[in-house]
Amino acid sequence: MSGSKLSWVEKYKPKSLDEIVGNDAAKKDFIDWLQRWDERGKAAMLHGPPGVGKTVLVEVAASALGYRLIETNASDTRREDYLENVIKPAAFNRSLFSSRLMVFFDEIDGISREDSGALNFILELIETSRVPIVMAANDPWAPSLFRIREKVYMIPMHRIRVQSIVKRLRDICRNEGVKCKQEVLMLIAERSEGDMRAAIEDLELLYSSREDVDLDEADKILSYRNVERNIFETLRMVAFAPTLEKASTALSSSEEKPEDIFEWVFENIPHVSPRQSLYQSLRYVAEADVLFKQISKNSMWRLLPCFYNKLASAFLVISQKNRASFSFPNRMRERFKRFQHEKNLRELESFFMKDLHVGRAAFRRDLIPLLRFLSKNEDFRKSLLNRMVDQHLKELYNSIILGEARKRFS
Amino acid sequence: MSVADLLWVEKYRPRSLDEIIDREEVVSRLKSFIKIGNVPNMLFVGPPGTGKTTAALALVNDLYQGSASGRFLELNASDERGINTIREVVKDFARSRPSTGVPFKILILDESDNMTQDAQQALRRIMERYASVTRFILLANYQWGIIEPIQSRCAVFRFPPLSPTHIREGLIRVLEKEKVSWSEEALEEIIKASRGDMRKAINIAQSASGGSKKLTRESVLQVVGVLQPREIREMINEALKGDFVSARKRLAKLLYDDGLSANDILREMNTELMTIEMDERKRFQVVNALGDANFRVSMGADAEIQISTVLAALMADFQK
Repeated sequence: MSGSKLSWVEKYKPKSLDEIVGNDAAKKDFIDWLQRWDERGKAAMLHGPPGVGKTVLVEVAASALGYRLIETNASDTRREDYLENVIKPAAFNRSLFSSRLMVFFDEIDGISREDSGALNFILELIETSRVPIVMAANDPWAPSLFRIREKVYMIPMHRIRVQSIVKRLRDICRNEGVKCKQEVLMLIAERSEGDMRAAIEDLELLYSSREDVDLDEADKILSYRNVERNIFETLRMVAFAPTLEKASTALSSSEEKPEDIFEWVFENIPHVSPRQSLYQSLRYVAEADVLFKQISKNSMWRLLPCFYNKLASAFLVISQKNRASFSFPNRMRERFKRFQHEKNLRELESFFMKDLHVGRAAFRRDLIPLLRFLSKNEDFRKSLLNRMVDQHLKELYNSIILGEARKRFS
Repeated sequence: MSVADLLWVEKYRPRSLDEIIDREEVVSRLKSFIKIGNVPNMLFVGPPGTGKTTAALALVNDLYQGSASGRFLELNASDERGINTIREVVKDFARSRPSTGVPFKILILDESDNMTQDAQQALRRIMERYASVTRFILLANYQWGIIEPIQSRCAVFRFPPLSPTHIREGLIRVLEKEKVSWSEEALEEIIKASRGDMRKAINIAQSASGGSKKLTRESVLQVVGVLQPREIREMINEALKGDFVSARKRLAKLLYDDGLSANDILREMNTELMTIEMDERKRFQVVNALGDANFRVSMGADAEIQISTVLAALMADFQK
């Protein structure tokens, strides 16, 4: 669940230009461009692999040079009202605002080629804007950017060197007060492939709850992340595949377990699909669920391609896809906790069901809320606890019935 | 000491068929079975709180004339160990056939429509194999949740929601015994909120009378707000507003934190969907999606995934 604690990526996000590691040429280039910007200079595009600091460079440079940043990402740009009512006034009516403005389109390669509305809007904006337009893209060669590319100043950013990443990681460790072995930091940095964000995420994964980690252990833990990356990659290919054949091939050539892929699809479909197509999309997912239960029960593995086709169709049926970032399936993360909780519920209910002629479903539906309510009464609580001999049972009562009661009635 | 005396629903559950209200036809048929000393396999169908368990227990009690212990067993069918447990229990029954009196035992199987189709097939074979020593009383919310071959082997009894008059009668009987005073408006509110569910009515009455031994309209309304499953309505509203991610989170909470059965969630959603304000064309599409989800869950599909499609249907626009 969400905690108030900042992730290390957030916590150690650069706040000044000096804190941005690597890409010195791009930094200088961008600042120069901004400083000599006039209304003919129009737009610039920072492009490069993920996690090299594109977004953060724009944010830091804006604040250093006294710009207020109007930020949009791929999902905002498909909202016409947002473009018309927020971006347009910002780009034309700078006198309305006290400070200077800069319009920033993040993840611009996430706009699909079909979304000509957003693309035309941006093209027109580049021509007519009275404030700087900045864009960031992983893949500047995306076909959708074909026309935009010709009109903007391109600033390439590169993968960050292993040594620079190690140095940054060591600083973070020092600040967090964790001991870390040089070889583990090297491992993290090498695995990150120049992606500072991924490196810091891995570092937090390894050290936030442990004192020290040796190389073998780190390797084991991080290879789990590897799986995660592979699934990300598969999912990205499937979600944006142009044909059923390509999508199905991406699924069947993945080395991940079909049931895991399924969980990832179920988790992420709502992020990719707009409201209107979600129903159609989820129907395919639901059919895939039924099919997979049959396949695994009866060992009909030759039907697996049909399962993959259904999952692929779940994406293909979406005509306008959001370029969302994928997230880890909640169901997989919570699996163990839910299993434990279910065990506790059963233990508690078997005590009550012994004396009350009530089924499991009815116990949870009718009796738990009733017990919660009646337990507000001290006498009732005491008489109930008197009837519970087992200490563990009392604890379950306290956590499941009273714990919730406290939350609801305090 | 048992917890049964702490809860009015259990404390005042009718012990004999004679004490049951509003079920004249069911009761008279059950009594005729007792008279001839034989009962068929039975299926009691109806929503919660309509007296299915009570009728089954009263029958057992009357049939064995108070010495029912060891001769009947109440099991919950939705347990995934369910079908194996049932087989073991029935085997034990068969081994220890009573020497005198009624020559069979009774197995009450609660929530049997929560069983998957496969489990029900297995149950059907058990019913056939041990027909001579065991009678089954299956309790279910929906008749169509039970596979056809089982239905055809059972005498079906229907338990529709209780009428307001009978809810009132039942309530007053309990309130008098508990020496609780009540106002007419309080009673009206309980009857309204109970929707023909006697257990719910009595639960509300017990909660609302609290320590004060007085039932007022205010205390009832306060309790109704807490005991009603508002979560389901909120989930539906979130989906209607287009916030799928929040609606899905709420669904997960209902399924995993509260541990509600898919069956209960689907039934409650069905009730809500019938009354909530919505374009009629959309309503039948959504309710249709709910039917599909219900069927697939009973086939053994994943409840969260199947019910999610209903939430997505609520977000879709079916105008065209």
